[in-house]
Amino acid sequence: MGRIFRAFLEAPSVYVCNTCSAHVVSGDDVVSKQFQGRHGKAYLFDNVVNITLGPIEERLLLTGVHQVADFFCNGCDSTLGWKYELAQEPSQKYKEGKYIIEKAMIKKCQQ
Amino acid sequence: LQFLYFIGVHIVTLGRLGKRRAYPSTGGGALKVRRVQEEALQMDAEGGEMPSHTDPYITAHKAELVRLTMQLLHGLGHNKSAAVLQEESGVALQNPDATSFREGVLDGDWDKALTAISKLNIDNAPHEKRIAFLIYKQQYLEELEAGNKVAALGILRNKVTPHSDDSAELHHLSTMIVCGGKDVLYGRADWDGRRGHSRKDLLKSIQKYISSSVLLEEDRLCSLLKQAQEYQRERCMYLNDKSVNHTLLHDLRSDHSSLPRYTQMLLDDHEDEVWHIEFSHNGRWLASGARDATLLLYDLATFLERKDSTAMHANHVLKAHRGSITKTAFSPDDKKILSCSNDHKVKCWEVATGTLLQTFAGHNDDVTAVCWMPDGKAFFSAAVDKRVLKWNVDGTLLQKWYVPRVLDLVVTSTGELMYTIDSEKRIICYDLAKTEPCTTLVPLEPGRGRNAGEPEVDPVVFVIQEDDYLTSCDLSACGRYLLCGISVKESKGCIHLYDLQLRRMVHKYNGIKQFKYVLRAVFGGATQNFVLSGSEDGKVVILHKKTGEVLTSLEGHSKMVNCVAWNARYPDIIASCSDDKAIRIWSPDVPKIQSLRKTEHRDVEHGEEEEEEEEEEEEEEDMEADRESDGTGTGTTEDCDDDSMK
Repeated sequence: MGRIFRAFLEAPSVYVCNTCSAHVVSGDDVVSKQFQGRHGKAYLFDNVVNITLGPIEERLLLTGVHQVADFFCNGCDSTLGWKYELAQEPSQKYKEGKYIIEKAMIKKCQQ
Repeated sequence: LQFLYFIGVHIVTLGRLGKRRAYPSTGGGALKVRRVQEEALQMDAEGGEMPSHTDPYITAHKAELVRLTMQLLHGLGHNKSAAVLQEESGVALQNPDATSFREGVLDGDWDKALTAISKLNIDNAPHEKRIAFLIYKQQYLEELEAGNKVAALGILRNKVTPHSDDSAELHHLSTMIVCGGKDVLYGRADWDGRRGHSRKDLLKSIQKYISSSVLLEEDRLCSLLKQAQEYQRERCMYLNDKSVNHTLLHDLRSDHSSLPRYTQMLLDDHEDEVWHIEFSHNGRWLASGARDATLLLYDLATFLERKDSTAMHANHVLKAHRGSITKTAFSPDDKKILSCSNDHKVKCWEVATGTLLQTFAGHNDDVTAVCWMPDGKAFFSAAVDKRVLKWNVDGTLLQKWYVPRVLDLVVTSTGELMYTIDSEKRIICYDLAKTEPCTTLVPLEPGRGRNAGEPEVDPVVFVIQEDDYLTSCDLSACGRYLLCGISVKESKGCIHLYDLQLRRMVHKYNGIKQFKYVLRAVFGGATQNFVLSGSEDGKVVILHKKTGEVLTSLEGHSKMVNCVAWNARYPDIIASCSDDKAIRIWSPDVPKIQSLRKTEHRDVEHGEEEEEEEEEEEEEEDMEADRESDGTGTGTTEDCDDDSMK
């Protein structure tokens, strides 16, 4: 589908997409490693690249109602996780603008 | 009453000029014409003022207009006409001393020039001194040119020196005595001899110190007209040709019809998405590279000669690469072409026969760019493996540099500077001469000291740091501007124009849909005043470089347009290639082939709906997965974000 632009990250350790090895997020941008996604462990990240956002939806999660948008890897279109756009509970506001990526979708890569 | 009018004719200097306005330039009733002419005749007989309908501009600039006309007449050689005009209007061209000064300078009669200057009473001592210095300097140089060294020395000592304050200048002049021959003198003094422009230049440099009303600037009317035509050119948005001599009789006009807007030819030999397209420098060949690693070469000679749109097939189908082709580069003489690909290799082909001349294997990852040195003997290749390699066209590796990941690379036409855009959102300019001793081409952090082992001279000339990713670049023919595609996270990208002398962005172009794909934007047009780009919605867009206005948007491709090219030698022709596997060649002429006419200036009916469908499918999958994972939980979690769908 056209020549997809591949962004690269210049950090010493980088997480790449399991399917197509596109750079996704830098190892320095981990916010928290203790989240749960749909398929298991997930990390909360900042500054993700090479992704396309899906539409924003309101979902009821265990921590409350949130507005989230799923995002997909640019290289292979696999769903990597979701981005928090809006959190209703004030205690959850810190997540806004950050991304949950399922650990199964990415792997760590040293550069 | 008539007597009073006769007196009036002596007082009002320019009554006669008004008479010209009696000839109407446009229609107007016959009656009106007669009345006006009667009025004029009446005034002639009685002498007196100008008719009331004279343009106030002319009234305000009466004397100046006459003087400029006289200067023009003299310049054309019509001295008699000029004299008659002077007599009729009563306006003198200029102060006779100024005229004699001018003649003195142009004829080399320095005494005449100097006496005239003193009579002009400039009344400004440093200026007078400077004028005298300049005149004596010219005299000195002319004597040297003629070989009269003794006389020249005399002038230098007695005339030039007392009038100069700058000892460095004097020193420089005195070194010229020892010049070997005329050519050396010309070079050293930056002077082109008494038969060249030097006397006119001298006049121009002295002009600065004399008021323009005393001594008219040379060919002033012509300079004014040239300025006006320059202004017209600037304002002409659609101008697409190089000629400089337009008629003075009407304003320069251009409209849409000078731009290429119709598909002349549809080339559909490719069997996969076409990613790159390029015209040769002589405009005769078209090269296209596709995702399935095929490179096609088209010979456009018959098309260009006869504008014949009959379907054409590729002259050479080159299938040696194993990975998608990312870029091509015609050699400066158009005899060879390089192609670089995601199979980590660069290949060189002969254009005329399509033979593979050489394969260059030196990279470990996708090769993103190749660029020739202007001598056509060496070229650079850059890849995302963090290397830039310099090769000799016969296959030898000349040099290897470690660099940040380079996404595109261009070399200026003089071969002195190289620009790269890299994955760290930078444009870096390198001085190629200084890159020789380096192994690493990484810009230094400011404040960081130089490590041992790094060469003394820094090859980096400057760095422009951007906030978003740069996807591709194109260098203008003059080498001053760089056009870069910008990809903005989660948003519509745009194109930036960078001025490389000012070293910053000077324009941002919107109107193009660029989101997550590499769309190459290029400069185009006879004077490179247009920007041409493809768009993710299948359009080909032409923008004006200076104003950024979208001049026209061409539809025809059904999928995104990956790359575009503007034919440098035939500026009427552009080409575009797309994911719909087709290449289109566009020109301003309406195509003769019926089927091609339908594709122009109409809405594209088949929209791109695949993306939405994919998303829906994914959502369904997710919902199913959720139902499976409902109820799982782990002990130590800070947060539990299971999606529990109601």
